[in-house]
Amino acid sequence: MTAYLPGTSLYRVLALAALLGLVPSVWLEADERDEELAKLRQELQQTQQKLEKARDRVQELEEQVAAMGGTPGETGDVPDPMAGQEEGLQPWTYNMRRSPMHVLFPGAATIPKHDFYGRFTHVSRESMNNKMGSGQQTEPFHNLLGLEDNVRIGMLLGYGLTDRWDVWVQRTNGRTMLKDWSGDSASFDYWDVMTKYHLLDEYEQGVDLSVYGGITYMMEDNEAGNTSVNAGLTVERSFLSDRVRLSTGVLYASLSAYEETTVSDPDNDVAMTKQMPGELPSPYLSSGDDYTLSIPVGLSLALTNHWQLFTEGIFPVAGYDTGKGPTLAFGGRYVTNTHEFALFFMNSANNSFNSLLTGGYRRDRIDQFGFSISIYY
Amino acid sequence: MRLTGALLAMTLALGATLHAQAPEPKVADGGSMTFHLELRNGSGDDPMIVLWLEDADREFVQTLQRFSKAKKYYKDLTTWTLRSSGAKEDHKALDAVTSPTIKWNGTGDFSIPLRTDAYDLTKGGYRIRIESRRDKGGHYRTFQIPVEAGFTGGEFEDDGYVKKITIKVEGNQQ
Repeated sequence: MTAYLPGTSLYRVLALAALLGLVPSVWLEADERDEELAKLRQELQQTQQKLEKARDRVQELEEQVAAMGGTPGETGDVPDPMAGQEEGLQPWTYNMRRSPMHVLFPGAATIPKHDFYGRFTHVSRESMNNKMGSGQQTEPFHNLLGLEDNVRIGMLLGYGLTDRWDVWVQRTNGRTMLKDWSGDSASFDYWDVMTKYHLLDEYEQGVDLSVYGGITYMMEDNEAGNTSVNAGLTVERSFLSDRVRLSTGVLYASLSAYEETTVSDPDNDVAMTKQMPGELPSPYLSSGDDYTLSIPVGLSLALTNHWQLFTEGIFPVAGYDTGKGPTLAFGGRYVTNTHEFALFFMNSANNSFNSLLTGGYRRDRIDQFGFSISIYY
Repeated sequence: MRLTGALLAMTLALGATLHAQAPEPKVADGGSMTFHLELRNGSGDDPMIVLWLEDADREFVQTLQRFSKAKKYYKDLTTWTLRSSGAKEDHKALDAVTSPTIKWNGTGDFSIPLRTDAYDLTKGGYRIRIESRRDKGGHYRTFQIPVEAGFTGGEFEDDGYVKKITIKVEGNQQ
């Protein structure tokens, strides 16, 4: 059988013969399978030997620990993060308190120490009733709730530095802006780079409170761009046996942004895109203060250990805003120890920190469909 | 006819009652050891728990009970995985001692014979190891209960997810 192994003269002859159709190619496939099987068996044997050695070593170390009067518990226990807080805990408490990012604004929780956190957000820029940007109204599933065209995608990656301190970076696709009358344009994307610190713990001080800060860099093609300096804090508290959780705080962006939601609207009553520094002024762009100060509010309701409903809003109180009321979102999510899946509707398709706090696209509608998938690992 | 029907109904009812009565627990010929686990209160996913037996030389003897049906996460019970790796326990035997996770603040029960081909608890020199773990939570593996000759059971407490185990020994202990 080894004579048939790839690389041997006989194998080459057989390969040629198989190409010419003189012998069944299954003969060669059987040889490849045998070789792969042999490799797997070898690796299995090596791994088993390593495991045996590891077991023997563990036993030796245990005996040494015991001989020195120690507790033969190998590496010891790792206590639960909620150890000592058993009184009053509900099955849904943990999942209600752990989300470091809500749909519209940062939560009070931080990413656990040395854990990674990833979130993928996908929001339609089209109203679910719009017919592919034509401004015409149609049934919601014509363009799959607005997801078949013009979507905003956010990809976030975070890391827990300590139990109370994390960092994250998020990229959101931006747009193109015209720089001068010659047609010179630049496209930019949003990069949020933020850090958060968990100052107060609900079980110790009565509320969860975190502060965060960072920048949003609107990176253009040549990596030049504009920078917003961001800051904020979130305060959260649970009520009614931890079934209800309220969030609020303050958000600030030194260079806020806003991008139009629908390509066109039959009533022309939608918020306009905010003009950015260096962008050519236009009747289709709105100008105003560079900064925005806003108040976020969120409400979550635990239906079960895993299922939650939520609604969020961000209310601009100073500086630039769209003039169309607060940014709003509502939906449901399913939370496990390692994942979070959310479906929601918003009145904005913005996703970066400095663009979500400037308001909604229209006062009387919340019909941008979105979803997010988060993972803790 | 009515009397026959009434007698028949009474017979059926009596038979159903006898059948429905919980049978008296049979004590194995060599006796048995019953475990009653009490779980601490908690939140989030329920923890996985496994109990196994080790002999005087700290060699793995047998898995006694496993409270979790999440097969892909068994490997996260790292101490038990490492200890039992050389034993190559029969999968069917393991499935027979596997039950769903115990809910927070709940209890779990099981029993084992005092003697089998693999061990004889009446002779002592064993220890029962308990490991519990929750994904993205704590990992407790130092809880253990020594079983010496003449062991009569008792209550054993720990700071982990399993806060107390009550053991009762019944039957022939010689």
